[in-house]
Amino acid sequence: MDKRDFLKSFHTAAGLLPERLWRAAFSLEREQQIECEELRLRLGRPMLALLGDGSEVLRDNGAAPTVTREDLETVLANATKSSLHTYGQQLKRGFVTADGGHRIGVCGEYTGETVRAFSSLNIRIAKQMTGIGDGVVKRLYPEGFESTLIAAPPGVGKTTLLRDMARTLSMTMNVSVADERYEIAACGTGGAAFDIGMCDVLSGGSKSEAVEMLIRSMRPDVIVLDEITAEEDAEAVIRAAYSGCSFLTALHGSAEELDRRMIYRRLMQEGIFTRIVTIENIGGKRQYRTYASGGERNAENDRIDNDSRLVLGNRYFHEQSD
Amino acid sequence: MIAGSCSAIGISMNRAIKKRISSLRSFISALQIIKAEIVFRSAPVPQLLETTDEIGGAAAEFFKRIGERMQTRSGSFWQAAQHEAHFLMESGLNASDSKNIFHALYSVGRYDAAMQADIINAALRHLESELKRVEAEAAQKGRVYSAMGITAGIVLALAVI
Repeated sequence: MDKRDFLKSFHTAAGLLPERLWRAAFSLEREQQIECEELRLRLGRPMLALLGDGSEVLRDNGAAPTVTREDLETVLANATKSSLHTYGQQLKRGFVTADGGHRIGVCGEYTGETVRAFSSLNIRIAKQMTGIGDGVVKRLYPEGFESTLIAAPPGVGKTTLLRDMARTLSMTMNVSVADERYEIAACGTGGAAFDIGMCDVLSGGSKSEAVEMLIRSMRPDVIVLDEITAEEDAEAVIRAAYSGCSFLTALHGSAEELDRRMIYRRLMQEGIFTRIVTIENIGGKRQYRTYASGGERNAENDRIDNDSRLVLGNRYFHEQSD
Repeated sequence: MIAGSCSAIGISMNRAIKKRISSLRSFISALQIIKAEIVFRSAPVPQLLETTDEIGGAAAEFFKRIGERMQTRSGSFWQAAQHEAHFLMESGLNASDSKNIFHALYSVGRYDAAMQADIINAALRHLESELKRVEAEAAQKGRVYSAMGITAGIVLALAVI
């Protein structure tokens, strides 16, 4: 995706806004529109644009219009083509995915089945970065794919990398995507909003259900899924891994936090993931580090100070160079 | 001429009541179908607008216009409905009927299915109650209006002569 694509993405996201807020969004300079990652609407507050280095209040001719409940409802009506009731499963999870892949987080009154009385929206502008996965895939898998975990803090581009790695891998392998939150492929009535190559996508449903369905019906070499959070999801992954399937998934947090998360500690101990990718945002640029499993821990090697090594659970992971 | 004019007024009042009854029945049926499509089939709005065609009458024409406007102008359902609001009065409904219908239409596609159903039900209760009242009025007074019109016309004509 180049700058023109990012600009187009901003335009389609801002196009969801009612007219008075739309004018405020387009008061941003061209470079800011390209850089804009989120548009945040909060009831009774001015609209904000989240840029790379902070956020900016959006104004129309100097005045910052405050967001009304009607504005929030209009955005959702535009995003769902006046059919919010058809997005029941997504709304239950607190989001709605608009055409173009823009994910709109929804806050309000949660009834257990849906969200009502909307109080704020977060329009995350979809940006696909095609090609960022190519180098990572080449470095990580000289002898074939191995189950991989992408670990990074929120907002640095895990899902963007996950998506592009899935796209790259799908050119030579059977790759299935369990897209529980419609973030990876953002499938709608018109198909996937993102370029995911030759992947087969199962959207919605829990990860554990999706993994079992995909194993039974799509014969995947690799299953791609976003963060594993539930015990039953981890169980499904372990069962599928023992039947020969590999996985590519993400973790919100640093690689060191893997040890503190019971689900991931177990997956590491079972030896499911033998590759790790970390992402750091350094001066606005993403840096990808890749690690390969280097064997089980022992007391002697633990005493060795090694900056290019991760120690997770009962295994070492050594940093790979180009 | 005078007799004719007064007769026409009386007959016209009778027709206006019948037209309103016909339109109320049509819109009540349409709202019931819309509610069912939303609650049971989660049908997207453009699709559920097509199903109102089967009802016929004023509502079918109204929703057809909204559907066409949504397609040609790429606007929202609510924007298209507001643009066609004048049609409700032209179809014989009064201001209160229009207000109730628009109260229901405001919710279409805007909220979750259960909330839309609640709002549409509230509008339907008002419209159904009003339909009963107007049907009773028509039964009692419809012919009276026509007869009064004709009688008034004859009396006036005789007075002039």
